[in-house]
Amino acid sequence: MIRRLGGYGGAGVLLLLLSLIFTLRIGSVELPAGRIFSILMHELPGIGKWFPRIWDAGEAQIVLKVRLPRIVLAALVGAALAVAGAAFQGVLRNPLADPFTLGVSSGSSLGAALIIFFGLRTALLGQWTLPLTAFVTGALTLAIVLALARDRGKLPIYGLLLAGVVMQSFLGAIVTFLSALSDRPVNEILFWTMGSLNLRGWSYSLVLLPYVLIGGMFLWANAGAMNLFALGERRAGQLGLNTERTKMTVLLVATLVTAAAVSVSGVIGFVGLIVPHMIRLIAGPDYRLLVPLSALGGALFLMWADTLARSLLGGTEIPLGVITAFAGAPFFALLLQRSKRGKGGYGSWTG
Amino acid sequence: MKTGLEENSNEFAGQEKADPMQNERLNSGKRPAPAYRFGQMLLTGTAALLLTLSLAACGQSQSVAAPEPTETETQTAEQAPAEAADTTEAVEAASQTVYPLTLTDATGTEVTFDAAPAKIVSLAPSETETLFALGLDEQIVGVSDNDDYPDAAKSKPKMGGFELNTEAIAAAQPDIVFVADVTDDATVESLRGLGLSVFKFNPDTLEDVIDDIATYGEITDRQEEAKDVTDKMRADMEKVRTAAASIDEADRKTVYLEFSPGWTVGKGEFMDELISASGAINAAEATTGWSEVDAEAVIQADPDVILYSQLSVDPKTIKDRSGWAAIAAVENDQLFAIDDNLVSRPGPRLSEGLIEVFNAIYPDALQ
Amino acid sequence: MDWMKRSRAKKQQRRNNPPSEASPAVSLHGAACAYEGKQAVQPLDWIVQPGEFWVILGPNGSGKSSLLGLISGAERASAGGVNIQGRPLAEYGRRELARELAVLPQEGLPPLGITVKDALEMGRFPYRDRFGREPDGAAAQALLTRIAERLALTELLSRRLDELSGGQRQRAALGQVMAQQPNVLLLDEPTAYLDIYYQLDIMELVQQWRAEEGLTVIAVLHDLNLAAQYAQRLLLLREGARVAEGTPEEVLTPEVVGALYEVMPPIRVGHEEIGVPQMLFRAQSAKNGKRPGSE
Repeated sequence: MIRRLGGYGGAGVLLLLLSLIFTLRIGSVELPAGRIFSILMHELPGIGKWFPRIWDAGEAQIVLKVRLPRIVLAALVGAALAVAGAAFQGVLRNPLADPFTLGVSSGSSLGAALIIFFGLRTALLGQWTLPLTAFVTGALTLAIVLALARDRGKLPIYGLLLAGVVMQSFLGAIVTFLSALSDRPVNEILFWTMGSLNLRGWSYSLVLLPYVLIGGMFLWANAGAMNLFALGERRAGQLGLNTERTKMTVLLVATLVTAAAVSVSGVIGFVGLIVPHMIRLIAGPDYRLLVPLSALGGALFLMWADTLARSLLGGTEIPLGVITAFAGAPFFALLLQRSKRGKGGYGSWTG
Repeated sequence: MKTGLEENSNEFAGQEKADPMQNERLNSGKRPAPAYRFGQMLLTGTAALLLTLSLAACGQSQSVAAPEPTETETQTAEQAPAEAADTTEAVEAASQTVYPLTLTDATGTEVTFDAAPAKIVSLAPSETETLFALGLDEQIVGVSDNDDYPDAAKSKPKMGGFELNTEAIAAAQPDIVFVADVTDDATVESLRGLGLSVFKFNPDTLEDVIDDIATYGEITDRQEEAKDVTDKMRADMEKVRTAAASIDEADRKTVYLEFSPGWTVGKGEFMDELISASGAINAAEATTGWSEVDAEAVIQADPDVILYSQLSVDPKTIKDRSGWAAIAAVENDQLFAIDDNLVSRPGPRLSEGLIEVFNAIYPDALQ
Repeated sequence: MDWMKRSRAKKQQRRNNPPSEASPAVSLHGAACAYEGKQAVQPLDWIVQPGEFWVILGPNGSGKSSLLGLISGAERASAGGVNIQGRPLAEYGRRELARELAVLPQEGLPPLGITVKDALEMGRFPYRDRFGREPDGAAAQALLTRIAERLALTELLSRRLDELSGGQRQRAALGQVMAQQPNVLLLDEPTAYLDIYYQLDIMELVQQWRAEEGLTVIAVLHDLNLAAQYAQRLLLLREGARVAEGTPEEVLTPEVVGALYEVMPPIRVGHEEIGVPQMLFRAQSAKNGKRPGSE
């Protein structure tokens, strides 16, 4: 297993670096690769002096303060959503489970919608008012879902899924209502819910990084437990796993990671759903591989999706959630085809 | 030549008047009790005489023209920008509207007015402002939820916002419903389906806005007031144009607009026209309509001035934005708030908005 | 959260009550199981000594599975207590219990995409720390290889579970359970979905394992005759209460069995080769040399 992890992981990291190089080159302002390289090298201590400043301040700002932070943020958000998605699929044993199954997206959307609706976007904490509120409402939604689903001290899966649907419907309706009341020239609520990484600087990445690192590590450590879950909760319990505690903590951490990502970028769907499946097709169902590789895969996926979002239509931004949704449809068609011909039918998905 | 006494031409009569009540009201002025008829005739005759005399005296060649079905163009004489100094002539040039008046609105429909509307519903803030500016406070029986200028508008009965309260509108039994671009054609159709008379304005340029105000004057028989408004607007615009023309090519400033957090405005919106009329360059001129800000393009354009919405944008977010610190406007702290309503409403205050924008871009250039 | 308090309390108790050597493998003291108003198992006193092979028999709804659940900890005792190796069940930590006691699932392993090798390794979970490491990795690998040989799974090690037949998956399940190295094995109708070949196969393997390692086995079987062949002692249950207990010879009499299942008393014969009692059943309608329903 370690060997496979090294192999796939190494390939993933390589692809990530290559993608970084390529996506830096793409943007609405044309900048030659050599100049971009020089700008980057100039920032490094020591080597910097060999790359004298022959570009204007605007170009350096574009590379260092606009493009690079955005690409890095895309990687982090993608990693967060994918790793959370893998965890959700592992614990809920449902191939259609994604990080938003327990209502986080609608909860965060509600927080964002309220802030936008009441014009509090820059109250109190300035640009952090909205992300912080979205995070809090997302986490609160999870708490409500857990409370709704709890049955005699346990967290049955069906209860969780149903409670998640309840919250999604209810909160989603409120968000739609607030969105419909918008009389501004631009429906900000709607666009927030479609996801965007525009105009976000380094501080966003810094805020998200601890969640991805610590949350990701925790989820990876529980990968063995997720493998056991595939046998069924009863069997997993018989093998010595504290299923209720594991379920609770894994769902909690995965949701917090998701809430952090959503509060920073809006609702970007399909990443948490598709990427773990794709990794499973490549590397198999072992969660000890699936969790870290999903993080890498998610980072790659969203880096490229965001690059398409900002460059496909010239100067116009396509909402990120739209791009990922377009990727989602053919993927699921593929999955459907495979399951028809597959040996285990739909059952083998839970592996 | 038709006068008000003649029967309504019936070609288009039936179209807008499915409501028999409406029919009666419009026609009620034409069939008063016999006792009054003589008095009316006398009055009208005298008025006509005086009118003809005054027209003859002024030597104006154009009279109240026969209403011709045209695109929202003014029916009266006003073509060239009125000279502000020549008030006497201007007063005498403004005339009384001759009814019935048939005009084509922005939906391409011909609407006929048998008389100055006595009950008006306005479904857009810009239209409400225009109506009030023409002194039609009494006639307005309903406004939209968002109408807030002048103050008197706030206390008018509300007819709905984005979702119209069609019941309230129908209950108010207006003679005419004025709508703007914000009400889409489908909604207009459904209002007309209820038997309401609807007239839509959709100006694209500043000139169009001014022409529309004149049209309002004609429809509501307030041509004098309309002329006052349009004269002032033209004067404002002229002031700015002259000042803008005197600015050197080299000193032309680039302006970046942000009227919704993270969104800018390109061609096709009034704001863009105000920028060009002020002799400046819109940083987003390559785009049309509203679009999400392209940070790279803005940094490259390096605008000198940033204009933002007073209502919804906090300049601090722009200044703190990653990578924007080196932009000239941010470095020199040239960020100015603009009152949204002055620059986005196609109404009488648009020229005020123009002045505000110009002053923000080229302060002290306007005398 | 109370599960944290409970585990701390358990650790304390473990220090105070070490398991004693001479205690029975499993003992029930007035243990009962009730839920939602239904009494699944009446208060029961029962002792299972180490190395014994018990089979629990009874009609549907007699509480067999609930009884097994009481022992494995899946069901909470509504009255009384269960002891494993002389220590109350409640004092065991989950992993600790999994090292002591294993349950062979009825359906075997689900047809997943994991390999047989991975499935066997999962049985080592109770011995691994949070990073998945064993105290003696080499010994564990040797054990797994031995298990695979014993169960003729060596060629199948790299095959996925969803590529195997039901019987093969049940074997893999047994392998997983063996990897747990328990002292007590619980079987809940392990032969329910298997054909005769695999039924005998599984029972033989369990028997061999027991012979080699001194395993204690408690099985719930629906096939009386199979039970008679393998059971050392039988426990007959009806409506949650014990009806009889003893060796197959003592317990499997036509009257007892007929009353237990509410059928006509069967004919008891002795197995020609191995001498254990076997029961031949028939319905009311079959008599006088005629087959059922042929009147």
